[in-house]
Amino acid sequence: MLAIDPTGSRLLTVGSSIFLQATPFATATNKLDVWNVAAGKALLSVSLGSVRPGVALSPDGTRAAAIVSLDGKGDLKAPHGVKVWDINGKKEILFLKVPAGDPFHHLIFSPDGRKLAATGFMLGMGGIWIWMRQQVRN
Amino acid sequence: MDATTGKELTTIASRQSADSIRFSPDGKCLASYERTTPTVLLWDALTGQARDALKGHATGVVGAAFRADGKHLYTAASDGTIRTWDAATEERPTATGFFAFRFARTAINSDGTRIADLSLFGSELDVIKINRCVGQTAAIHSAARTGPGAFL
Repeated sequence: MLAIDPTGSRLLTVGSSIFLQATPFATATNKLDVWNVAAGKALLSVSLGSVRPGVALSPDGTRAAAIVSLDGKGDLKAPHGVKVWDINGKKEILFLKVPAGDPFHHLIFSPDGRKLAATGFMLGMGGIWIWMRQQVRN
Repeated sequence: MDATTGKELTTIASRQSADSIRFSPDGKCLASYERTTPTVLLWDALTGQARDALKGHATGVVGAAFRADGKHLYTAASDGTIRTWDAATEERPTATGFFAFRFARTAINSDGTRIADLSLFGSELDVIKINRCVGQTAAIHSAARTGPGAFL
């Protein structure tokens, strides 16, 4: 899987990209990397127990997000959530869980980078979740 | 120190499942669609309320993109048709283009002039340049196809 920021300076990759893109229900143990394209260097590199075909790079290239299984092992029957990383700080900053549902299909940032939306299953129906970024001063 | 949190804005329960979504350029509208259903749904991204159901495609929808000005939505269906919708006035589709290609998984650029289509098994990538897509039948300007191993 691939995602690239609008300026083309940062590229997000997940291992086994062709396999995952071609078969929407496939899953595997994967590594997520964000690259500085010009320098060819990894800015962020994290291991994921599994990842669904849902990854996103914020439009300003500072955050990466992925749909992951909550058991960390990649079991498709396990509940899923959304993780967000700060690429410059090289750390996980958000773990978004969904009380009654399973984000499973697709993940996308809004063009201004402030919203994040995921799709999946909810109580036998289709579910769409939208989150808004907030800065909290401690 | 500043910390970032994610406030859940809204949760949408939809009878039609969505395997893909697209934000409008201003982030206020969300389009959802799936490859087995012809209808594209529009949602208010702040309140989660349904705004419109765009009906017109004959087969499942495999790609969508808002134009950069947010006024039009382009959608591509698996039978090779592309439709242009007026997203601002909620008028019905303004154009339909028919292509000899059978789309599997597409990406459309924000002025509707290029469509990239990945074949079902990920081995071929078509890039189709379209002369016009708004207000009249789209015409293919050129198409390029890559060899095996391409992916979007």
